[in-house]
Amino acid sequence: MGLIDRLDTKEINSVYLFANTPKYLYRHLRHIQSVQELSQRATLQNLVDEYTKITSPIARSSEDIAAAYALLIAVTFWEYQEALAALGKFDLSRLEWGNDMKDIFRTNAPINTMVGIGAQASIRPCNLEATGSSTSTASYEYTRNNRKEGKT
Amino acid sequence: MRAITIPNKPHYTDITLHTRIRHAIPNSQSHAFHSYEKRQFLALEGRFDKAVFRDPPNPIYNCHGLTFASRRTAITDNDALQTVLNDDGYHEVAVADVLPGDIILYYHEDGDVEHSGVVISKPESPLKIPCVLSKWGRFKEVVHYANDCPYDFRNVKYYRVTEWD
Repeated sequence: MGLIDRLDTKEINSVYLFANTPKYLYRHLRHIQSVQELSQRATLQNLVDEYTKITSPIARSSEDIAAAYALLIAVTFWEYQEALAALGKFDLSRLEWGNDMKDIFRTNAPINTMVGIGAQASIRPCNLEATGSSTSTASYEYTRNNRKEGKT
Repeated sequence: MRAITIPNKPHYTDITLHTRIRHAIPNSQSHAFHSYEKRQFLALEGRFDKAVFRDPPNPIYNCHGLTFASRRTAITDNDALQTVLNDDGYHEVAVADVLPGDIILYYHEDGDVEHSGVVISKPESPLKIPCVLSKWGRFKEVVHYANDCPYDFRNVKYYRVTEWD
């Protein structure tokens, strides 16, 4: 099964088709559960590889456009610096709003280096419970990691 | 209609666009549809059986391009929209005073304008919901009740140009 096969394509397509602005696309894709789950089950390199594959001029199929945006958004759930570095590996010019996605991420994403303080230094995808907010991500992440460690 | 193509690279242009007092407004024109987009959107139309979808689809402009740029281009920058509102003399209108020709803006809770359109009928009692002409994404213009669309109606505001100097 391919990396994007478990995406909720109906929901992703709907967001993509109705998007009037890059920010709408970014915000609403982040709320889709299957995109959040994608960020958890894939590595950053997986996401880069899949994006490169489905947006390549030769292999590109029209159905993959919305999925390509979903892959970009999955990256944004990762720790800020890692995500930013990974986004540098994407050829964002292949999507009309590819560079906009990166700009919005840079503008809105918190630098959640507090993640490791007193808990664990996990840099796996974060921000899953704070999809609509950019203000309290660190505390969400702290809670989530502690939960995973049984430290609630 | 322009042929449906799948370009290797995004294909878009922009035009010179100014507010009334000559502030430049960034904009972008898209020149291609993907056949997939057309198929998917036609499928989604069925979810809004009270809406009237105007043919043909046109990727050149978005909702804000319809509302503020005479269907010539797409405006996607929220700050630019605020500049248009300020420079062009728009002021908010209470729902009880809304008239055809006013514009409706759909705000996200963080203040971004996610959608816009032009009011084409007075809000009807008891729910005070007007009929609107707007553009849904890159596809078609739609005539619809303001609350019968993919965008959040809970935080809309109405505006009218009330200043000319």
